Amino acid sequence: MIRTLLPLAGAAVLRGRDARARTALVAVAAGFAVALLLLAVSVPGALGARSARQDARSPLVVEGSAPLRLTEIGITTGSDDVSGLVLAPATGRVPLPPGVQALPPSGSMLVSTALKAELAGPDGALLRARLPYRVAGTIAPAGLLGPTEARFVAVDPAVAGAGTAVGVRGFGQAVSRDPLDPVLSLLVVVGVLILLVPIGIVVAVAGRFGAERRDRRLAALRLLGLSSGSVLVLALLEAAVAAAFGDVVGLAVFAAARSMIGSFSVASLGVFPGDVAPTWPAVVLVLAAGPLLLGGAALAGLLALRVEPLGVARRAGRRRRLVWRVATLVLAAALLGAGTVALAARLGLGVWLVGSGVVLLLGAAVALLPWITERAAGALAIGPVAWQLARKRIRHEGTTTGRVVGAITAVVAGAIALQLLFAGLAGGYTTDTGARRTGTLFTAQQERGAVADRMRALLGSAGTPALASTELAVHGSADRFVSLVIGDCRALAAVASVPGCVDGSVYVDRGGDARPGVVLDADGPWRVPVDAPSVSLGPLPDGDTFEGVVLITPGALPTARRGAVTVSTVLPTSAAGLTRIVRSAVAIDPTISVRSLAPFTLAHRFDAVRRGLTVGLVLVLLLIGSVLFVSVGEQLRERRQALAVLAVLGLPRRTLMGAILAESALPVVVGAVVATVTGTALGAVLLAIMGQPAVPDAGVVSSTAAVALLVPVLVTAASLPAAARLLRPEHLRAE
Amino acid sequence: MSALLEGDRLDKSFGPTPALRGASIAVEAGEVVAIVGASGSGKSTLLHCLAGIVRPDAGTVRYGDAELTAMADGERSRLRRSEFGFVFQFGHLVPELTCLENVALPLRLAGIRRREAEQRALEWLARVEVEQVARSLPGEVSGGQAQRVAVARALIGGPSVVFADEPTGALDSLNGERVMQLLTAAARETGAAVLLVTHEARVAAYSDREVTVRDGVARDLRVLA
Ligand SMILES: Nc1ncnc2c1ncn2[C@@H]1O[C@H](COP(=O)(O)OP(=O)(O)OP(=O)(O)O)[C@@H](O)[C@H]1O
Ligand SMILES: [Mg+2]
Repeated sequence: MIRTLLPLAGAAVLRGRDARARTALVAVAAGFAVALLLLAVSVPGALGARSARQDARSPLVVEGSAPLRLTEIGITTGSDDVSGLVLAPATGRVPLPPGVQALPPSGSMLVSTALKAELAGPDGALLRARLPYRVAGTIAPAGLLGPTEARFVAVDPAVAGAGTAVGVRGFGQAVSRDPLDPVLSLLVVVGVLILLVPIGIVVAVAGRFGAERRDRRLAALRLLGLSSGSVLVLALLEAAVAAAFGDVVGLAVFAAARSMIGSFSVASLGVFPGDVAPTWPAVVLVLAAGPLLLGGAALAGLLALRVEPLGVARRAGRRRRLVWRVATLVLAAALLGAGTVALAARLGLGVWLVGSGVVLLLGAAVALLPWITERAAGALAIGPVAWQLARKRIRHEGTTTGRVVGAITAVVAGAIALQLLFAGLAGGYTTDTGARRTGTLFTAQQERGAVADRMRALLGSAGTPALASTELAVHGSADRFVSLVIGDCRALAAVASVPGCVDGSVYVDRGGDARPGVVLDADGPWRVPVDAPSVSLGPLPDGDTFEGVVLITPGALPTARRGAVTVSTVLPTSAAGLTRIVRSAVAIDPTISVRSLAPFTLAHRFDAVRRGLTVGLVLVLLLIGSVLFVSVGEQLRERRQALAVLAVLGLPRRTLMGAILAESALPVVVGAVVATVTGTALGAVLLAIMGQPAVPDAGVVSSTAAVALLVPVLVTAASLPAAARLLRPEHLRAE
Repeated sequence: MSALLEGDRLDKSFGPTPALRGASIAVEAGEVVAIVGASGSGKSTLLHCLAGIVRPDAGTVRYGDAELTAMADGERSRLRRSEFGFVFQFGHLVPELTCLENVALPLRLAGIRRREAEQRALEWLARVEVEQVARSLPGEVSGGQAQRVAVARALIGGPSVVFADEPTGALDSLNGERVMQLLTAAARETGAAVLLVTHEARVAAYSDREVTVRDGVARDLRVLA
């Protein structure tokens, strides 16, 4: 039987211009959903691949003699992070980090393509100064986390003795890491769901296109002796054929998105296309979802009908029941509430609770839409003839337009919620980083005090005071430490008020064990003078703060007795000769850290996400717009005879056009209101979950709603000429 | 001798409207019977009941030894597939299939291979003089051509009974006559009985005998006798 039915289904889906247009639309809608789902199910794999790459290059540290010593270096210039290794190979067989075939000669480095471009770029001067190595080749992808990662592997024997250098016997070990932040996975899940729900609705609506024609076809087949069961199978086969095209489109879109993903990065985190690989079971599930959804929509449509040889009859009417819709709404609220609590407790379960809450909330909003529209149509009882005609149809038909508007409602509500969320997060992330000033922070960790002094002198010479800090144990104790800040009087004066300072002065900011008279272990006991004046130390230029600290000038404690110190200073990024200072500093200590500082970090990291969201929103709205356009056209064609009769009876064209307009306008207006309310509420909930003040930004809400309203308005305007043509009396003639 | 198809005291109402009130009719194998009567008298309803498309409220429909009125939907569907053919006022052709595929459809549903089915369908199209529309979709052919395609489709499976409800209703008289000639000639040749609903005397003239329906009651002289 299937052998006979399958060609029938194929013909129904592909024969004729109308059928092909419908199928194309269904395929595109379903394809979008499939591609989006495939990307979503690839996320865990991509994260896993990233962790694996991180593990593969993490060094196996050993005490004592090792074939290789290395130090890991992070550089931040502007907004770009550069990371890398400086290696000092010893004798013997030297282990190689992943992505490196052979060590470059001493004084040179291998770089990733992204870093190569940055070094050559206009802002590369500082980087070139910090990395005074000849580029000897590139790092293979195996050594990178993503295609846009800026990374280097340099060989410089001078780092062997640096304070941060460690002995390494190889690379590759499982690094324990925190599971993905539930809040972050929530963002991903909610984002995907908010795009998926409306696409699902659109797919379901598109799947019911041509229902009238299908009814005629199925009735004709019933007459030829197809049983009602076979007719059902045929309808499901038709849905499956259309969905198969959707799967093909989805795979193509996914493949395209995957190949583009390499050149797209969020917070300088790119993903290798090869790492975006969903597992086979996930792919099978996703590819099955389209046919299931379309088949389900077809089935739901058919179960409400009786397909008989003489035609199709609607089964006894279903009332629009408010109870279920309200119950769904309540359940959604409960799930969101429970999810919020669970997330606050950092339970992964919360993600799923909130996710299902979001889906239910959007679903309830969409389900409430026709009910509200009907009530509204019922309530607005007075008005011109056009409005009365439209009211009748809205109340009796619950039009397809209404269903498409449901999809718009869902997408707009979701978009408002997400836009609010990101606007809120962006606001929240424009936070005080603790840094006192803008500039470039230099930090060098030094075992040898003499080098530290040279570094302090060099950095201090640039016009900005340089401070060093260290920790010394309280004499006779193993686990109590006191912080020491070292700087000349000019440098100390920049962070505290130090009256009467001369070389040799000591001050105390009391707290913990930091008090005058305490004896510290400084290569032998050293007593903080009993008469050391008390001062109050503000935050250091890099934002560090202390609770209890001893401030000393260099003369108070000999260099050699200070132990390992960290020297740091902040130079204005615009400082003249900055690159020269960097070059000199690297010459003193090749492990020096260079980092751009700003008192405030703007949430640039979300810009890409928001851009992506906007693109997704526009695409989904375009999709919905085309579905709406086709459905309006279909309805007009189906009703052409009835409309023509009204025209023949002498109803003015203007009235009829008005009726058609009003019929779409009411659901659209109701949809906009419902979407705004739902989206704002959802956005507020999500903001609260993220720990942001749940105050919706009116501008974000209204602009998103306006963009979304534009779609039905444009579509209706575009379909008016067709309507005008259909309203001519000559269409009275039956097909 | 018992009739091939027999309706016995059939009642059918649509809500408060009675369509059939104790109508009885008997059709012998191979005969052409015209059901005539005024508009709204219940002709179509009678035909639908006899074909097993509509279940009567009371009365029985017998086909050979089988009682249609006692059959489940699946059995009646099988009967339509294997024993009956249909030509209605508007062809009821499947709009997405070509005329050739439409004609071949009953054979395909009977499990016959596509090549053979289409070969035989082509012969039938030639027989009803429309082989030129074989590759066209029903929406692209004239009303007369569509009815001829419907005739071919009704007869290709070798049915015992062809049900025809106003088969010429939408055609001009010349076309209508030709369709009737083709239908009755082919039916006589294959030995199929034809149950023909019409209100045109000229069309009824193609029948062996007429049964008049008035107010839901069929005056079948043979049953009354
Ligand atoms: N599906 C239906 N629903 C309601 N009433 C129906 C239905 N089908 C037929 N009727 C009614 O049953 C009666 C008989 O209808 P039927 O179609 O059998 O008449 P007919 O003799 O075929 O008429 P015509 O020559 O106009 O086709 C009519 O009064 C009609 O209104
Ligand atoms: Mg009739």
